[in-house]
Amino acid sequence: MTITVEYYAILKEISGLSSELFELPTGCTGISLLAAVGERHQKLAGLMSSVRIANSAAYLSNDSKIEPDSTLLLIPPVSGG
Amino acid sequence: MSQSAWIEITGNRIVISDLEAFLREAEGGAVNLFVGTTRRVTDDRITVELSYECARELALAELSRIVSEAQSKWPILRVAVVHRTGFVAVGEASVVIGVATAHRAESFEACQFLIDELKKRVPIWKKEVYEDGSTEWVTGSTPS
Repeated sequence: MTITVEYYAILKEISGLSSELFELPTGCTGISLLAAVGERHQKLAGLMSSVRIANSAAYLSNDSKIEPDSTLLLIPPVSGG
Repeated sequence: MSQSAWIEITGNRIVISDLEAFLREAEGGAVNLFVGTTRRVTDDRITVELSYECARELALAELSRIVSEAQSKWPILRVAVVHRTGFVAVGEASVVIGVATAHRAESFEACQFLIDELKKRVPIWKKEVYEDGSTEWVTGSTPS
């Protein structure tokens, strides 16, 4: 299944990308997605343990199954205010 | 935006007097305003501006949830949460939280809750821009 990943803040800066596509096995979890991101972008690998996965409406549990064709946001630690 | 809540993420300067007027219209006994401003000195380094970025749709959804939680905890007449994005110069407001209630105690408590939860959960990020031109993302917290 194809997943669109959106990068923000430090993840966007380091990868040089706002978003990109990943091809993942159907039924895999967010943890597999984070591993795939870390494999493709080695400079991001060390940051993946502190990233939350979300869609545009809410945070998701990182170990929940990913829906096919979804767009997922990778949220690094937040620092608003 | 409901009549009792003003939630906004804006690239423009925050006009605090507009928010205060909105809160005063509740005709309660207390209006509590928190203004978060860009700090000049952090650990001996001189900041000239902060650059804010957000995941807009998720940030607005999360702000709405935080406001709803506050409304269920305290008898809030009106509430305002406005965060700025883009470049914010030293001394300018990056975030303003305001709560109107009948009595002062709950306005303080709700205001503190709102800013604390915003900082923990809302997908907004800031980068320090120092006077020597270097930049650095501020260490944040992973939303729980």
